[in-house]
Amino acid sequence: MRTASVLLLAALLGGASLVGAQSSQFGSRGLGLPGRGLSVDALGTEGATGLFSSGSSLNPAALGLLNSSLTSFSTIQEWRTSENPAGSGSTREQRFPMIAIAGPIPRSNFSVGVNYSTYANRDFLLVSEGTAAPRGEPIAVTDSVGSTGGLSDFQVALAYNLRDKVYLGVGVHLLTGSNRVFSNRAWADSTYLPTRQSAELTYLGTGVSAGVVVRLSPALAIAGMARYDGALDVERDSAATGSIDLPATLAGGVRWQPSPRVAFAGHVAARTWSRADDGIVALGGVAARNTIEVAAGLEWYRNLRRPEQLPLRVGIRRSELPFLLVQGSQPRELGVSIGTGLRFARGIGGLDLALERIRRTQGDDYTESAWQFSLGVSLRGVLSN
Amino acid sequence: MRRFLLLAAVALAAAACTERLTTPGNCPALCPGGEPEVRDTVLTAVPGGDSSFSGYSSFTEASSFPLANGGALGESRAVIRFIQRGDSVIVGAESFELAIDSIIVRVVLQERDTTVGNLQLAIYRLPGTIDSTLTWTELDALMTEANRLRTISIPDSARSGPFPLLFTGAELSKFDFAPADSSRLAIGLRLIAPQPGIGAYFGASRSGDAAPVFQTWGTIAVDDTAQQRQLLQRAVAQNFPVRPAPTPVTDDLLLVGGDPASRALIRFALPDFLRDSATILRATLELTPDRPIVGIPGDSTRLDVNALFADFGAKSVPLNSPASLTWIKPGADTIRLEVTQLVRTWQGATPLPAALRIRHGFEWSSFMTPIFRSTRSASGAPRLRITYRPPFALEGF
Repeated sequence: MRTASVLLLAALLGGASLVGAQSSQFGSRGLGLPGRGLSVDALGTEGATGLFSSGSSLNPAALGLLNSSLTSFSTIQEWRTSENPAGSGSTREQRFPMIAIAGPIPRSNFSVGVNYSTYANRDFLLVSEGTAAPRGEPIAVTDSVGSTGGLSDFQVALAYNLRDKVYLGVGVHLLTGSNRVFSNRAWADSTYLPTRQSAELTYLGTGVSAGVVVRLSPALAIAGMARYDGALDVERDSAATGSIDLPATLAGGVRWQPSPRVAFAGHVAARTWSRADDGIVALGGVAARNTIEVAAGLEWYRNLRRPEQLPLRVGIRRSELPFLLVQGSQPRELGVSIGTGLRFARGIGGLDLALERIRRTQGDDYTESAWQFSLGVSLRGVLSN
Repeated sequence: MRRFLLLAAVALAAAACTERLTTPGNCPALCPGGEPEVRDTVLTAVPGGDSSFSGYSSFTEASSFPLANGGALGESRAVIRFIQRGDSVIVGAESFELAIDSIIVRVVLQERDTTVGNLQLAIYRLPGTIDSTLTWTELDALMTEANRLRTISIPDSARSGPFPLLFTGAELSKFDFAPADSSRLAIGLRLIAPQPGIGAYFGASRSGDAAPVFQTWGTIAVDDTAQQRQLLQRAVAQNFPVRPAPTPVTDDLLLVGGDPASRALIRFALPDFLRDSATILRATLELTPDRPIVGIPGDSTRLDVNALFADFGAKSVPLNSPASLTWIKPGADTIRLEVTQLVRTWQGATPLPAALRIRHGFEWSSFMTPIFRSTRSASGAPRLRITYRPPFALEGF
């Protein structure tokens, strides 16, 4: 079993080095498309259970819910169709947005975890065709503007389990990453040489978070989280070019299980992304706005003896996106999801699946519809055995 | 359990296949950093910084003989001297005198003026001691009726091809060598046409299969019948064109090619805004002919342009790569050469000299000798038209 698990892990990591990625057009502005820090089981409820998910990085207190070690990886495959005034196009993307290792500290009420998740994803390629007339004669040109990379969130968190009723957690975050941004132009007339201008943007910032999970009754639990991220220092080609204030986050959620077969969950999260507006605009961006995210979902357990075996998860989420593509209304995102999971090898191995239908819009001009398939692989109890 | 792991591995492998398509860009709205701006500028050569120099190559590097009978093309004839032939053959360890029964002199037509018929090629026997110091007047005096080996008619239908001239019987006496000749055959070529201004190209020693050949066939007195028939074949030892002294071209003009073959050096002053950070998309060198470029109908030639590794005037060191070239035809108006890659070598932290060297692609082998105006001309100085993109901040937010 252990050998097989190692092989599976190697296959996963090996695949990660081979794939390319291309993000949404909604990731082309500002810091990109914000990551959600959710494990695949939480994505199955569209994030509604995220504040209670030990494999997610949203709430450090959720680590206290662990009774054995957890190592998890997730991969997301997304197929999307984007439309904007220049036309429409289809893209496909592969990401590995989350790696987490966590577990209880033996003979204590503490749990500790580290995870590496996507804070903002800016991996995109925009291609447009047009004409230019550098010497008075129109020549067809193909412009491509793109970016690879993004901003990652490395979190170290500690949680305390107070009598299995209250779980408290704190986390520190190191935000780091880079974007290789480029602008290419190719000419239909080969006497004009293609041009490429590129820049490497690097980021460094820190943040802290704190959270709580409270079991009010066997059927009802609530959770809350607060996070504050400081200023993100931005360098372009190793030269300081500015800083961007990152948002504070406040989130609250509830999980209610009225019967052994079904549990409902929901959460609301607010992020003060407008703090980043001045920095983003100063660096040539359009604007950054505060966001609110609301999600609701349920889990239906088919097997009461082993509730983690093929449960049905569904959820719906509506959220705002912080970075405007153009001046005007704020981009929004609507997602619905369905998911499930299973445990095998006496509960050591786990697979979780989630399928989301996501629609992103800014006004009528910029729209995007996507199918997003997430696969999570987890190992439980391996580190403590 | 194993089944689950296998399924997971298959699912991962399938998910890892990434197709990279694109989102339509809606610039400038969606394009971080904005759209690149493209500008155009024209640089005139540095006043007095353009000149022609000669002495780089010799007639021995010619691949063709341009033969002409005056007019706009001028008079042009050719002299070919073959390697010493000798008069005996060595078989085994013994030398046998060759009883000559036939001689073939072959020349190859490479290109001709097809608009005029009844062309003839006259071939003259010249002294074997002849060399490249021969003047036009001396050659003209040697091309007499008495020295004429043969005159061949070039069929009107022939655009190119070999012309083997077979000499037998009494004609062989025309190839008798005087002691001073040391068995070196020298011949002269002259084109005859019904009107002046007609030209044709014949292969020279550097033209490969089209090079002139001198063959002597005969027999030797040996018992082995397979060795009785012998061939002495000789290649060209020296060949050169002979023309009347050319009219000197004033130093105020830029001569490319000609006799002697000249090359032009043109310097430019690249402004700082281009040298430092602009991206040069296209650079076009514009040269204005001072007079019509002449050649035979259908003629063409090549101009090669190189950047310089170091600018030492006439002794500048050209950079072989990158290079640029263009083909020109008779009567060409303003010549435009794309020199983008060359001009880009003038940029950066270690720029090369902002100068271009223009060389004739077929030195000594073409009627076409462009003479361009310079910065000392009243108009039409060499120009460089540069299309470039200024740097723009690509913060990308």
